[in-house]
Order: sequence, then structure tokens, then C-alpha cells
Amino acid sequence: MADHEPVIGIDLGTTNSVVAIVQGGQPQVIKNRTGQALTPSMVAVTAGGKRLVGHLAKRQAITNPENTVYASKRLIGRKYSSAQIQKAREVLPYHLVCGEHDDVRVQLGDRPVSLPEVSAAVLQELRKDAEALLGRTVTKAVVTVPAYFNDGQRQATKDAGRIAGLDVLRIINEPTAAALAYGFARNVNGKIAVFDLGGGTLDVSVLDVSKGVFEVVATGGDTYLGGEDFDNRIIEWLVMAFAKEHGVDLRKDRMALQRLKDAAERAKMELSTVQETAINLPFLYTPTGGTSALHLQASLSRTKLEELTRDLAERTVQIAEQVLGEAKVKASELKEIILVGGMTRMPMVQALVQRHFKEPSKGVHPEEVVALGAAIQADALLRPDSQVLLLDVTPQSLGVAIAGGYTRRLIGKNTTVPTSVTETFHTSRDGQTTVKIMVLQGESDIAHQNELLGEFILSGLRLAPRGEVEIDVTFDINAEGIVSVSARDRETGVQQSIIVTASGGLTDNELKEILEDQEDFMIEAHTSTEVAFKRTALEAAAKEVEALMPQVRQLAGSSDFGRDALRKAEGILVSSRGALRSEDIILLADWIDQLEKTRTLFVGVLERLGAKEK
Amino acid sequence: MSGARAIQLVEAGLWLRMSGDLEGARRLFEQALRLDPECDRARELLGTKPAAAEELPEELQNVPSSNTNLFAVPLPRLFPESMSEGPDAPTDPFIPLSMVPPLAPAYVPPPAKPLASAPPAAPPPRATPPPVTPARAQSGGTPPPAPPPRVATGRWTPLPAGAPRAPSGTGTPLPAAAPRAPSATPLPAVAPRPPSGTPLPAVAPRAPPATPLPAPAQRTPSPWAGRVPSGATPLPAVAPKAPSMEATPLPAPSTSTAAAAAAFTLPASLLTPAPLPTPAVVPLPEPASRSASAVATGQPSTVASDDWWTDGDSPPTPPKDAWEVGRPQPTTLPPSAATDTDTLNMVKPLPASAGGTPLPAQMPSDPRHEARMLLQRATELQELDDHSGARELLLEAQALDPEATEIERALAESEQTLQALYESKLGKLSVVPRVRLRDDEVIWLNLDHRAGFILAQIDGSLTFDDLFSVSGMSRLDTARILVQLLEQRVIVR
Repeated sequence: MADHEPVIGIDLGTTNSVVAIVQGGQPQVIKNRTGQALTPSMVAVTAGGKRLVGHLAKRQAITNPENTVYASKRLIGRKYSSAQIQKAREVLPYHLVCGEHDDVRVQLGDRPVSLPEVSAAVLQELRKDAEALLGRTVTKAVVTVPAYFNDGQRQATKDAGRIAGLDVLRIINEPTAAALAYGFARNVNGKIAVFDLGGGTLDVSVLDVSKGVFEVVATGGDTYLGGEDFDNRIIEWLVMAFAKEHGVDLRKDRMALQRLKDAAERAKMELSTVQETAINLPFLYTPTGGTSALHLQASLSRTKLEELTRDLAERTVQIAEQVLGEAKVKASELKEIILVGGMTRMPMVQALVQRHFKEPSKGVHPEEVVALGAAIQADALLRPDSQVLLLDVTPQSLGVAIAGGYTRRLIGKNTTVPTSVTETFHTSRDGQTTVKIMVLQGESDIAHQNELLGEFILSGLRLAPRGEVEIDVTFDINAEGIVSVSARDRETGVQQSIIVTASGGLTDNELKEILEDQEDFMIEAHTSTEVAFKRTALEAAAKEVEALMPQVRQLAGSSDFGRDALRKAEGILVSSRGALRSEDIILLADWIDQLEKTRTLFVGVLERLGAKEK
Repeated sequence: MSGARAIQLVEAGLWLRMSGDLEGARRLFEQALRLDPECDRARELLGTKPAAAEELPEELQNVPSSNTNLFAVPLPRLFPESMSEGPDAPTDPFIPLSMVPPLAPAYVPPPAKPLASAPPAAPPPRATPPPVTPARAQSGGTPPPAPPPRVATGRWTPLPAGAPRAPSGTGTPLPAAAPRAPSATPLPAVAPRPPSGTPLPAVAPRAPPATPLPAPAQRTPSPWAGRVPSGATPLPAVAPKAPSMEATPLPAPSTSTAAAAAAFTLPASLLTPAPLPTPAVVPLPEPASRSASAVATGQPSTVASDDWWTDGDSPPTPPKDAWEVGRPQPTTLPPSAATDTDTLNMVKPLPASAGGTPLPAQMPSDPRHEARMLLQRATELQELDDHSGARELLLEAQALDPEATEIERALAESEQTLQALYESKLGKLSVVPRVRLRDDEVIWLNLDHRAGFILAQIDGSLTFDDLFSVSGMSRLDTARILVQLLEQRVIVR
């Protein structure tokens, strides 16, 4: 790849996303158009069909819940029939529908949209922000995902990148990216814990860092525990107080609820640095009967907030302790604890982590650390001499189903790739001439509890009692993550194999169609920009002509020519203002041209008549 | 209500017929019959043919006919000479109703020859009752309050529903109706110039409407443009003197006709200089009792402006407000003025549902009919540029008849116009507004929760366009609230 082509690092979060890049040897976050580092991972479609991404989508998430998609990261790459999706359907306000291949789609407006498309909208927004800063096109990126993401989820994330016009060079784990940002690849050997409490999820990972290789030893968390739950506690407190005073349940009013949510989040964030904050919401609710609108004014202290959310914070620590237990690591053995996610700014959370584990590292902004790590990895991919290069690992174990309904794991999780493993099996019953090889992914010993990646049949075996015929099963994983599994009769040499490609839920044709649709959207976006530009120019031209008319009227209004010119100019002004509502660029350009000619004429008339008078 | 309206259409049709406009009269009779299928009078008139021209009385034979110059010609005498003499003979040129024989036998067909009258001069402006302050109205200052509802016989346009009223905090009323300035001589009306300086196309000469026109606020192409019917003919003046626009009091009826005070009289000024011969055709009287009830209930006794003429396909021949020509200020009659015998005497008594009785206590409960009525009123308001009031009526109409596409169309038109108006007041939508007041000042405003929501979104990062996207309301409502906040100086651009 070209040395000068930039590669951005993207933290595609459940609630917020961040983009960063290494410039001048330093990783830095790229701020979005509103000047903020965080872009909400939300996509919405308004009643008028307009697509909103990021902050705008968040601002109307509650007033337009059916058409605002959030936390799609919890759903991406999963099957519609899976338990997680069925659980999500019960709680999410937007509608999930089943795609043709048991993939998950979201009903947005009048069409079902795939989850990679939703993520792609967010990635596109980040890409535009990066291009605005860099002043050039960006086509390559490194994107982070949770450590527990399976191949299907990772592939879906890559598909999202493709739809957004990004070539995703590498998918890396979020805790690994966070560790990279702290520079632990160079100066740490040992176990580190990453405590990631974000807006919607809690992820706790234990990494074993050794000579620049990051191995995820254990990972766990709660995909439905995050900062929003803390916000909801504040909202409930405010709603109850308001109901007590006015007898009104604000939760039934969407506008009120939207304002409450925004105010609760702001108050929570402020209380990380101050002891008390005011919540002031004027004209929050208008009772029926035509009386004046009601205001909400409250004061929330840090103590009160901690009281409201203590159980949530303690639960996060409990989960972290479980993960450490699975990793068989004691808190005292940890070299470092990294805090990731905005919620880790909360003093109570920091205190709990410190009390239960150890003093956390705080050198990097917790909301930005993952994106910065991704940017560091992206920079390392650009420079062959980089000393920081992560090796990809398999996130989950791979194996085959064996007699009795069990799983035999051939490749353990977190094994670096590329890798190849062969194991010998035999027939399980007398006279068996065919064996079925089922390729599974997962950690369970029970076959049906793991995910089936593919299956094939090896036939033509010798007729023999059970156990006599031996079959070699080989798992190959290349650097791209493509798994190929083969089975060979050791006696006859007969072989069969399959290639297992992770599917993100979209077929190649579907992906192609989506990419074409995105092109149309990009053209439309550019056209909208052009229309706005033309309208501005038309208004300016009209104002110039209007400013000249009084003088022309004064100098030439009494002549036939002057009257005719003024009449025509008036007609052009009226028509051009009518055209302002049009979105036809050519029409707008024509009227701009007409106005310009009129202006030129008037200027000439004024110069001539003005000189004559002198 | 439809019966009363049908009666009025029949009366108007008779008037047209007498003036020679057979086609217009026929259309009105048909319209009356459509409105009230039980209107026997209309059915009868549609079936009858006018008397032949040779049956024209001698007085009318040399009188040129004119579709428009209703008052430029002396009205022929209907009654024998003996009636004009004697102590009880009426002194004013028009005969009280009590002395009017039934119309049918004495119906005078229209003259075959055109009336040899003075050429029609500039249209006489209607004697508009409410005094106006034209300078203030035209300069865009505080307009005078809208005139009170008029007692009407013919066409009557109710006040726009969106006429100035106390702001409720949820809507910004459009500028109040600004009355047209009176002029010494009638001339082609030029619509007021919008603030942008773009002159609106001149409106062809026509009589001033019953209701003062609202001042068009900041928009470009005028809805008036192109709306003047091509066939509109200015009302002729009674030559040579142009009457004053100011209210002209009615001449007091003679004592001998006090009991028949439902007589319709014209001000003397309109009849100068020539003395009028005894009229042969009596102008139709104002049904005082019905008008009184209309005033009492506040309901209009007539409906739309355009339904007089046709089903809308052809331009009007007599001017729209022919009834209004020279009409003086409405007069409230003494209670004893009208008796049962003073009503219009028809050939056949009309059924109670259609006759000249006060409006029924309970309107027919057909929602579609009500919706149509609302649509008609809304259309009138739209023509007067009161899209805010029209929208309110159309929303009511839509609730009554949700499937009516014409209501939907009209509603869309009003909403689009209002939206354009509000957005033009906002200026560039790419501008980021900011709140001008402090929190402790904001709380003293009189806003509702929707305005409060929008205000809460204005944090210095969202443009007007973004606010439309996140408001959770329709674009129109959002624009209206933003304009309200701008006008109250709560936010600034």
C-alpha cells in the first residue's frame, strides 16, 4: 500500500464511536462536525424520509423510537432465531425482521435494512469526519470489536466497512487496542485486565501480554449493563418526584422523556467532576385543560446519584471478579488495570475497581483509548518496520462433532493465525462406510450448544468393524481467517474437504446491491449539498438586484426602457424566489444566471445614466 | 340552511333573469335545486320559459338590456297609474312588498334590445360600512380590528376563522385583515406591495369584497395573480357621480310603509341625477327576519362567494356581489317591521324545510355535508390569504370526512403556503440560532411544552434545518414555533 495513504482506527462502539489517526507519530482523535470526539452509534429515519446519523439521531431517539436504531452492535452477525435476538426483540422499540438467510434486518421507514448497513452509516460518518480533517479520501481502516465476537460478527463488521467504502485491513479486539494505546506492548509482560464500562455494555477481559503478543485469556461481561442504565435511574428519580408533585407521569410523554434523558446524562457526567448539579427543564409538560406548562427544577448531588446506582456499579465489579476467576488470575497478579468507556469516569466506579482490584491506569481518556489503539495498529500496518504488530487470533475454539453428541476441539480459542492442526478419528459402528464431519465453533462440550460452521461427508470407507477405519481430520486457518477442514481415509487416501467462510449474514449479491445503493446515496448527498449552495447563491443574486432597483427606478424609471427593464426585473425576482423551493440544480442555476444578467444590466444603466447626469 | 340558501339562489336567479342573463339564471336555479331538491320554486322556474319578447311591457321595449348595469336604467313601472296616486301611494321609487303582487303572473321577461343607457363608467365601490384608516392599514402598522359580521342577504363572506384573536401560545396568528383603502374614484385595485418590494400583479377591476383583505405577509407570487376571472366585469357606476365609499345611511322609509319595512331601498345618491320613474320591477327584499336570526346566531345566511354563478366552470356575468352594489349599511329593523305577510310571496307555498324560515335549530347531521361547508369556507379564507384560518377549518373538515381528497388537497395547499411563509421568516435554514435569554428569564415566558422542547434543542450546534429533523413535530409546527420564538426575541439568528 502507498506510504502516504492514511489508515484510520475506528472504535465502533455500542453507544458511541470514535475515529483516530496517528499523525506526526502521535495518535489523536478526530473530532466530528459538532466538535466532539464521540459520535453516537445511532441511525434514524425521520418522517420525511431523511436519514440522521450520530448526534441528530440521538436527539430524536425517544420522539421517533420506531425509526431510530441504536445498540445494533448487540445484534450484528447473529441469527434471527438466536436467543439473543429474540430477547432483544422484546425490549427494543424498533422492529426486527428476519432476512432471507435467518439474518436480522431492521425495519427502517419503508424498507428492511441489514445490520451491517446500519453500522456502515456510522462508519461513513466517521470516515467523512476523517476526510474533512485530512483533506483527502480515506479508504482503509482498522476497526475494533469486542473480544467475544465470533467469526460471523467480525465478518459482519467487515461488511459494514465495505458498505461504508472502507477496506477493513484488520479487526482487532477492543481490550487489545486499549492495551496498545497504553503502550503495554513494549513495556509490559504479564497479565493485564481491561475494564470496559461503556454506554450500553460491560466487557471485562484479561490479556496475557508477552513479547508484543496479546492473548485474550478470558473475557466476560454483560451486554445489557452500561451508562444508560445509570441514566435511567436518574430519570426514574426525576419522574417520581414530578409525579408526586404534579400527578403526571412524564414517561408517557415522549418529548418530556427525551429531555429527561438528555438532562440525566448531562447531570451524570457533570457529577463526575462536581458534587452537585442543577437539572432545569422549563416548559417540560403541558397539562390537558389549557393551563400553563409545567417546569422541572431539581438538584442532584453526587451522593444521591451514588445511592441511586450503587447496585449497578457493584454488579460491574462482581462480573469482573468472575472473569478473573475464569482466567485463574488473582487481582494481585495483574500488572495493570485499564479503564475503558465513559462510565469509568464515575468516581464511585473508580473507587470500586481500586478497592477490589488495584489502582487503575488513567493516562488516556477512557472514551478514546480504544480508537487510539486502533490507530496505532493501523499505523503499524503501514510501516513494515513497526515493532507493534498484533497477531490475529481465533476468538473461539474450533472442533468437530463426535459420537454421543459431544465436541472435540482441535483449535483452541486465542490461537494465533495462521495455524494448522490434524487429529485422527475412527468409525463409531460396525460396517460404517460413511462419516459426517460437522465443523463447530464454540466452547461448549455439547455439540448442539456450539455454532455449526459447516459439514460434509466422507464416503467409500472400507466395510469393517467399528474402530478399525481411521480418518485424519485437519483444520487449517490462514491469515485471513478462512477455515478449511479436510477429512482423509488413512487407508485409501480418499479425502473430502470444505472451506468455511465466516458469514456476516449478507450474501455476496446482497452486499453488492447494498454497495450500489450506497453509491446512489452518496450522489444524493452531494446533490443536496450542491442544491443548498445554489440556493444561497440565488438568494444573494436576488438581493443584489433588489438593492439596485430603487436607483434604477429613480434614474430611468420614467423612460420606456427603464419601465420595461424594471418590470422584467420584477418578474425575474418573483420567479426566482419561487424557484428557491426547487431542488433542481439546473433550474436554480438558470435563475442565478438570469439574475446575474439583470444585475449586469442595471449596473450598466446606472453607470451610464449616472455619468450622463454628471 | 340549504333551504334558505336555495331560496336566495332562486331570488338571485330571478334577478338575473330580469336583467336578461338567462343562462346565469338557469344555473342558479339548478344550483338551488341541487342544494335543496325539494325546492319546488326552482324546479318550476327551470321548467318555465320566459315570456316572449313581444310580451314585454311598453316601458321596457326601448330599454337596452345589460347584464351588469342593474341600476343604470330606470326600472319600469309594474303597477297601474292609479296605484301611484292617492294618499297611500309610496313616495319612494320602490314599492313595498305588501303591495307587490305574486311574481309569477306579473313576471316581466327580459327585454330583447339592449338597454340604451349611459356607458358604464368605473365600477361604483360598495358602500363599505366599517370606517377604515387606510394609511395605517397600508403602511403595515397596526390594522384596525376586523369589521363585525354583516347582516346579509346575498353573498356574505364570514369573517375568516383565523382572524386576529388572543394568542394561545400555540400559534401565531397571521397579520389581521387590513381593510382596503377607500378611493375617491374607483380604479383597478393594486394589491398591497409585500415588504420585499416585489409588486404583485395588478388585479383586474372588481368590486371590493365583503370582508377586508388581509395584508399579504412576505411572500412572492401572489395568489391573486391569475385568480381574477377573465370574465369579471367591473360594476358600472351610476353615471356621472361616483359614490362615496363611506357608509351611507338608508333613507328613512315613509311612514305609510313603515309596516313594510322589509322594503329594499337604495340610497338616493346612487340614483342621481335622473329622477327615477316608478319601477316596474321591484328589487327583491332583504328577508329581515332571517337576517336577524343570522346575526343573533352568528351564522352566515349565505355561503360561499362563487356558488352564485355556476358550478365554477364559467366566469360570472353579473358581478359576484351584485347584491352588494350600492348596498348601504345594514339596518336593524324594529321588531314590528316585519310580519308574516311581508315575506316573499311564492306561487306555491314552500315546504317548511325550504321556505323562508329561520335556520333550523339543529343542523343536518351529515358529516360530509358539514365537511363540504367547512371546505367552502376554508376556500374563501384561502382566497383571502388567511391560510391559518383555512387550515383550522380544513382540519375540522378532514376529521368529519377523512377520505375527501379535495379537503386533503386544500389542506396541503394551505400548509405549504404557511410553511413557506414561516420558513421565509426564518431566513437561511443553515443558520445556527442561539437562545438569547438566560435560564431564569426563559422561565417567565409563556410557552407550551412543544416550544419548550424546541428551545431545549437550541444549544448553538444545530441549524434550523437540524431542528426540523429532531423536533418530533411536523415541519409546519416546528417552523411556526421557531418563528414565534424569533419574534418574541427568545432566540436570535
